[in-house]
Order: sequence, then structure tokens, then C-alpha cells
Amino acid sequence: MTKKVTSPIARILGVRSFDTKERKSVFGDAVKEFRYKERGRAFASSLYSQTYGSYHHEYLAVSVRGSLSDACLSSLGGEISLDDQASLDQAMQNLAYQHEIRHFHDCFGTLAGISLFFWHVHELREFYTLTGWLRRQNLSWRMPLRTWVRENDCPTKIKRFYHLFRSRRFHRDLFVGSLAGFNEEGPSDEPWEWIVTHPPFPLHEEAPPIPAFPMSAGRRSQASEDRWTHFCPLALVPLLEGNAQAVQRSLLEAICRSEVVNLYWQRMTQYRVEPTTSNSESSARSNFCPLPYNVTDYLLTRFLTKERGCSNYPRSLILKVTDAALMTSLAPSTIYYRDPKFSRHPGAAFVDVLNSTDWRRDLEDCSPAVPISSDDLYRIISNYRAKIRPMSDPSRSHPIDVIESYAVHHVIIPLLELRLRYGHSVFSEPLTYWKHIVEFPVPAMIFGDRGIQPSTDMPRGLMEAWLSYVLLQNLMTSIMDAEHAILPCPRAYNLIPGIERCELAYPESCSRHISDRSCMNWTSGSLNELPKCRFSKMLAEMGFD
Amino acid sequence: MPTRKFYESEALLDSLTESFQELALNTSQCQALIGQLSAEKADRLNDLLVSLLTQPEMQAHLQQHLKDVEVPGPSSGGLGSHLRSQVRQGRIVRVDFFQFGKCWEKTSTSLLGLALALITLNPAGLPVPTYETVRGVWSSWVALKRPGDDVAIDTYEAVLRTQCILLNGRDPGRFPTLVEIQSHAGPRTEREVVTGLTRLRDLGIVKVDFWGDQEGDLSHRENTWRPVV
Repeated sequence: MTKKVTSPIARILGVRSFDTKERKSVFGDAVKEFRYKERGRAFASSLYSQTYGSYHHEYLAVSVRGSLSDACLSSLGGEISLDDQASLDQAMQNLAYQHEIRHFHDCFGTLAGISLFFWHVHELREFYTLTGWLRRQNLSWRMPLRTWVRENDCPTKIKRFYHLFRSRRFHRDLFVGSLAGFNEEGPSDEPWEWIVTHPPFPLHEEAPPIPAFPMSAGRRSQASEDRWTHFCPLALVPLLEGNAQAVQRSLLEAICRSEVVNLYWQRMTQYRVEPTTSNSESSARSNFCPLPYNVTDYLLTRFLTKERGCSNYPRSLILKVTDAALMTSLAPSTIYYRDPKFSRHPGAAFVDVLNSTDWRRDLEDCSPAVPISSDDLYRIISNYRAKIRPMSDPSRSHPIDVIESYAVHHVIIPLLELRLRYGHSVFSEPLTYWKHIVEFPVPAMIFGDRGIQPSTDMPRGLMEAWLSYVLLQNLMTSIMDAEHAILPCPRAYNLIPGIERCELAYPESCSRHISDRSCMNWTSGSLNELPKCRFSKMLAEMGFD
Repeated sequence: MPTRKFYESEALLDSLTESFQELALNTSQCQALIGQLSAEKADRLNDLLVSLLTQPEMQAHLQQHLKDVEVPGPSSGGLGSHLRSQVRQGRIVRVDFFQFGKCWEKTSTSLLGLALALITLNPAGLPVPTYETVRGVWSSWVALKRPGDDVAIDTYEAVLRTQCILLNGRDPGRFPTLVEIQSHAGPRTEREVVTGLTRLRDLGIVKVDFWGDQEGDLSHRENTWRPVV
């Protein structure tokens, strides 16, 4: 049974309609309820003790450990010989760049990621507009905001924005998957089960159920064996990580010895119980944290085993299902988020793709359909071109507009045009993807251990706009989250990837002020103690004293 | 007047920074100095300083003491304080936050913090003293006030300044001689430095580590001096 859903954000994106299946599954129809527990929001690629890189969607930035030149060289199949690398760690480090870049492509080349980016931009613009309104009322943000919003003299607009922000944050965490998994007694052999999670504050609307992969978990000691099921929420992060891991593994197999590849697989499938002060079974369970890289792989294996009785499938199938899911997902719109019909969760879309694909065919030929035609793509691209104009002079426009325009004209449209030119397989067939990799755009900012590599097609003045944009983004989050009247400088505390490479102060350098500790934080009434820098300037413009 | 603001886990770093500024030394070396301490010793020093800063005597100068504050960022550079911090997955997540007005009580505590770090860093491997010991020295030290005790305070600062320079030099295990201290005491004459050292010694704030000649000859130029903590 299908029904037509016309989403306002779909209209913004230029998509006329989606054919969305009613949530109907032969597997696990009951919905389990869990208490919401958030976890980190950056897409960090790490194997517990080692972090190799991270992708920051809202900042259009990638951060990788190690030398950028080595990383780029390895991603382009240059002279570096990974066969000669003694350790897998070196290979992982060199492949981190390609792994994070794949996140960038999956995010800006699919409707899921594009709508999420526009959500960030929209929210930031709303915050900026509200700040301007406050200034016109001769008011400013009063810290801590969470206390002010409970007082009578706080304007209704501020109260509304604060509560919407928290509600949106929760819905975004559900969409992205920035929430910890959940445990339950007993085994489950379902490919997915539906879960609902509730935040510790009232919501404007009920949280929709999302699918979760029931992962078998256990802990064995000399005396006993404890087994339980860990529910890994199936959201944007596990989908992106599954894709990046699949292309990374393909590349590794092409250029590394089998011993290294086997070691890689061992590391990717390791699980760990985070150390705590308590050794109790319950703390072992609550601290169990599997890596997100293989969730889609395991889910697909379990699904196909049930559906077809076979667990072997070509790796490209993960990419095909994921791409179809990401092309039919939409982040809840900031304007229309109240109505759950107007968004589509990536996990739910993934499950829909599995349910709607004809699995009776040979798996090599099985290709889940991406329901976005060439006409749809033309319409989406035309819509962007019409609504968001390119920036000829970034210094004359607001940084939010500059970044939005850059993302649309230098990243999103080129990525969608690649789909038009080569078909959706350019995203879902590893060989096609690698064949055309040099045609794919790269992030505006790539940070390595030894410096910044701005995008080669970065327009003049974009770096300035990017800095203002990320500072504003960070300040908005700090103001919304602050429990006390303290706002930490993102440069002093490295709150933005790569920010330590940027100079915000003048005439003296940030490093001088930081080593003197003459900046660090804003506290109430301390603006004039802060040095001349972008951070203090932004605070002053927002009316902080 | 600038204030001193720091999270609990930054107490040692803030103390060293304030001391280096007071001693006109390059503050960019503070982080490196902490890096030379073992993690355990750095934690204990940090906790000792937080204990001193939360004494009743400090309350008058404490502009803000916020509890249970979220530590910003992935790399706050903080130390693992064991007093009030909440640690999650090996990382400090919540601590206290302090804001002090510029005052001698805070500066003197910072200088004592530097003395503690220098003593602990000595290759002789001196242990971190107990809170009671440090509290006793602090009481004597903070009682000195400018301008009446200018000579003693300047001399103590010269001892610390010289020790910092020695630590980065060829002989990090040695404490400074009277001559070296005088050479880093600005306009203070050797006679004034001896007077300052004698006063500090009587208060139990410094002591002779090695007698240059006859024991008890406080004015001998080869005597080496060290802070007591």
C-alpha cells in the first residue's frame, strides 16, 4: 500500500513528490520504547583509541590525522605503496582522507544530507535574525538562556526559539543517529526492530519510531556469561559509515596485502565495553559501544538470510540500498517539522528500500531503485539555480548566504550533475565512483596535522565568510546549551575542527592571548577584558557586555 | 582590572600562567612545563591548588564559583582533578568554574603553585607535599604584603624566576645560588637579596638546599636556595 506525500521541504528542494510506503514490515512490528541518551555529533572515524579523521557536515569540513599530501596521494592512487606499509594503522591513516571525503559526497550528493545542511543554515539564519531583532529592541541574549526563558521578561520570540531549538536538536539527533544505543534482555534475530525514544523534556510532537539493528552482545567472565541485545539506531551515521567503510575496504583490498585486510576487518568488528568505576554487569551493558561501520552490513546479511536463505552478497549492494535510502530521506524541516509526514528518516527509508526491492533476482543484478528520475534531478538543479544565486563578491554578502551559495553552486549542483551524467551508479558502484573520483568536488576546508588545505575552487573571500559562519554556528550552540553565564572561545578550546590554524585576534595573535590566558571565556560583564578578535567582536555585535 | 577565570581542571595551568606573567617570563612555556610532570603529579598539584583556592580566606576575592559546569570542547587541556569533577569515558565532563578579581591572595597562591611544580619537577623526584604542609607555607607566604615586604616578595620571585631558567638550562636538578638569584632580582642588591632570603627562611618559605661553606652562613654566595613546600 502506498500513499503520496508532498513535503514542503521537498518542494524547496524541487522534488514534486515521493512515493512513500506505509511502514509495513514482516519483521518486528512492535515498537520498543527507550530513554533518549545523546552521544557525540561529529562523524568521527575512529577505532576507539585512535581517531583517524572526522567529517563535519554543518562546517563543510574534513579533518584528517597525518600529512595531507600522503592522504591525497593515496586517495588518488599515487605512488605510495601500501603493500610496503608495516602497519594497518598507517594504511588507515592514509585512507582516512578518502573515508571522510566519501561522507562529504554522500551528504551533499543525497537529499538526506542536502536537507540536513539546509536545516543547519535555516536555523542559523533564524538565530541571526532573532539576534538582530533583540538589538533593535535594545535587548541582548541574557545568559544563561535556559534560566532567562523561564522568566517573565524574556520575549516570547526567544522562548519559542529556545524550545524549538531543543526540540529540533532532538529530532536531528534521531535523524543523524547521535544517540546512544539501547539494551534489552534476550536475543533477537530480526534484521531490525522499531524503537521510540523520548527526551527528558516535553516535545511539540511525538517522536516517530525509527528502526534499530538488534546486535547480539555478551560479556563472559570466569564465573558467568551475560548475554543481551544492543539496539543500534539505524540513522544517517550508520548509513554513511557503512558506505565509507565499504569503499574504504574495496580500496584496501586493491592495494594492500591480505594480512592487512584481515587485520582491518578484525579491528572494524571489535567491540568494547567502556571502562567505568563499577564492574557490575549493568554498567558493562550500559557502556557497551559497538562501532557504527558495519551496522548496515550486518543488517543486510540478516535480512537476506531470512529473505533468501543466503548471506553472501556483492559489497556494492550496501551502497545501492544506502544510496536509494539517502535519496529518499528528508531531514525534518525547520518550518514544517511539526508534521512528521514532512520528513523521512534515513533508517525508515533504508528499511523501505529493503521491503520494496524484488529480491528474487540474482543479487549481482539486484538494484534497488532510486525513485529520483533525471527529470527530477533537472528540476532540483534548476530550482537551486533559480533560488540561490552564485556569489560574485563574498565580502559584500552575509557569511550565511555566502556559505549557502557556495555549497549549492560548488558542491551540491556538481554532485547532482554527476548523477545526471553517469546515473546513480556513480554513487553506488565502487568502480564507477573511483573511475570518476577526480570529477567529484572536495570540501571547502580540509584540515591535517600540518595545515589547512582549502578547496582549489574556493572563491576569494570564502575563507573569511567560512570563519564567520562557523563562529556564529558555534556561538549559537554555546548560547543555547549554556547552563551558566560562560561562553568559551572556540579558538581557545578547539571547539571547531581546524580552528587552531586560524587567526582570530588582531593585532596580537591568538596563540599569544591563549598562552597568557587573557581571553579563553566570556563571563557576564567581561567583554572589555577580552582582546580584539573576531570572537569578542561577534559578542559585542550581539549585545553582550 | 582583568580577572582570572578558569575551570577547575585548569587551576594549575592558570597558576603557572599568572606566575610567569608576574615573573615576566614567557607564558608559552607553561603548557610544556606541565607536560614534564607525570599525569598523576599534575593531577595532585591541580587538586592542591583548588583546595587552596577554595579556602575561606579566598572567598572575599572569589567573584564567581560555579559548580557542575560542562568543560568545553574535546581538548580543554585540563587536568584530571579528583575533587569535584565528573569523568565520563576517561574524559572530564563537569567541573567547577572560578573567577577571581586581581588580588595578592590569588597571585601569591599562583606563585606557590609554581614553586610546587618546580619542586615536583626536580629530577631528585621529590614527592608532592600534603595539603597540610602546603597550607602552612601558604599562610606564612600570603601574610607578606607589598610595599612593607617588598624585599622578601621580590626575592622569592627571583628564586622562582632563576629556578625556571635553570630548569630549561643545562642543570635542571640544581637549585639556584645566591649569585644567580641576585642576577635575576632586578634592581635588588646582593645585600637586599640576603635580607629577603633570611626573612623568607625565618618564615619557613625557603631553605638552603646546599651550604656553600660553613653551615649557617646565609650570605655565602655559593649557597643554593629552594622553596619550601
